Amino acid sequence: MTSVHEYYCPPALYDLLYSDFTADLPLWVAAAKAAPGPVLELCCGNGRVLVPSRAAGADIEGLDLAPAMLEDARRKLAAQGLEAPLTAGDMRDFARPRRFALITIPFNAFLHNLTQADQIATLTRCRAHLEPGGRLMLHIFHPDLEKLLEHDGTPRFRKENPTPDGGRLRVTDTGRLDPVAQRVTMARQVERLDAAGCITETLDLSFEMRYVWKPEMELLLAAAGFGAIEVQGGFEAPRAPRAGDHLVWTAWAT
Amino acid sequence: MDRMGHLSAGPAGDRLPTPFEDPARYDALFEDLDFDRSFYVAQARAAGGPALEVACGTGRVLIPCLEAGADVEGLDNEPAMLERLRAKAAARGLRPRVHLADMRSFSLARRFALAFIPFNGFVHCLTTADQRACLAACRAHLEPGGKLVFNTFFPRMTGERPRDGVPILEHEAPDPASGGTVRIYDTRSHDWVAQVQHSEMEIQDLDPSGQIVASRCSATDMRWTHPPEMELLLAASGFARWTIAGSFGGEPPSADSGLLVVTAWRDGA
Repeated sequence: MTSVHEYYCPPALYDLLYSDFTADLPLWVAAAKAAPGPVLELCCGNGRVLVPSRAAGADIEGLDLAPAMLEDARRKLAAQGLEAPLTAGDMRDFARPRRFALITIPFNAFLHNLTQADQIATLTRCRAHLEPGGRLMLHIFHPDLEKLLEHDGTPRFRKENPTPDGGRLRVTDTGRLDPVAQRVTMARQVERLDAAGCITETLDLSFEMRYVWKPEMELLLAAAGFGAIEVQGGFEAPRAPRAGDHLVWTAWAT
Repeated sequence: MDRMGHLSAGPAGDRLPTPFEDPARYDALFEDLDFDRSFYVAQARAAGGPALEVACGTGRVLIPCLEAGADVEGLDNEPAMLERLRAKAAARGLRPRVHLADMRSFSLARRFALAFIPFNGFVHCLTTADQRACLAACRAHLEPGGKLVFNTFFPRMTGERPRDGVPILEHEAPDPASGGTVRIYDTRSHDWVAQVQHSEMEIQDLDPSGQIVASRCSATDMRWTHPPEMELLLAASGFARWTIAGSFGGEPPSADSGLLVVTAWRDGA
């Protein structure tokens, strides 16, 4: 059977698909702990980054579009005897009473802004929510041409993750690229296999994203009023970005 | 030079000359290119006031503009190119007003109804700061209501792409001076982070029998701009409105051609 889901529902499925991505966690947890004031994570989802950040002692709150994801994050926090303010809201037009020393947008979530107006609106809201001297940090991938060109309408195996019942989740992506608008339309098919390897369920998760080039990101941050800007390749020791890299951007509200 | 006519990298130094330091060869290769010329000549004639050609080179576009009766001045940062332009114009009885200046920092007394940058001249601005400086300088030289028109490119992003590091025969043209042929091979590489295309060019002179008799190597870098990035650049440089087309006929941008034809107005409608 095939069922169509909102991309970030159900939360348990999100965990099975993405909790294997941990390379960015040390960077985010360290940044949240070291922030000299409150931290806001945009698009915090069900807490892949927010829960370990809170557990490490950060004064962090979260914002996300999907109430079901926030509910799941609350449950995970409570299981560790923790709490954090979590608000349903849109990164393009959120308003919080506090100002923050650090605002984060991990794991490509900024790429859900599908128009230039949305991109600038999000960055402008971030700028308005920073304390003087506060900073925005966000992670987006740098486009790799060969990978972009794989979005040619052909289904491609992406990965297979184990499930607690001894089965597997198999992810197959069928992407389409619009290189002028810089959009990828992704039909992501997730098949649930039982321990015997039989497909028991097929889920269709579709989403769109708008990728961003490096000089373009600098112009977007400048358009939103950010002054000093830095970018590094990868999540570890700062190094110059390479094509296809994970880029971690830092922009200061000066 | 080896016996195949290839110039080996050598004592000339670390830096290869640019193709713009040899205006005679440049003209032999490109003077007859007219993919954009009629478009810019028509723009200059219809400008309704004086026009400025930025990066006018040897006058491939500027001289036909003058011959068509348009009031056009030019600027370029390569003295040898301007010298050749003046000589060609003089041979036609024309006395063009051209200026030795940098497209990022020029300052002229006149204001223009039209500024234009043909044939990828804009791609010599290698950084965002250079691009913004060039666009702002052009805008500052426009009369109220004036416009800037230029064409640039972004790399082809379809399956049919030349591979980095492989020489491509870019262009071949008869050489009236020798009765032979001049041809240019371009070996490209792409820096996708900085958006810079590095070209190492070999220009070969062939005699009428097809033997290579001379070969010159040169290199140049070109900065490409993606369409959404172009919108941000124009806004950051103070332009009030613009159109970004994918052809000189006004069709939308396409990844098959990679051509961008930008028209940007100084003021709102």
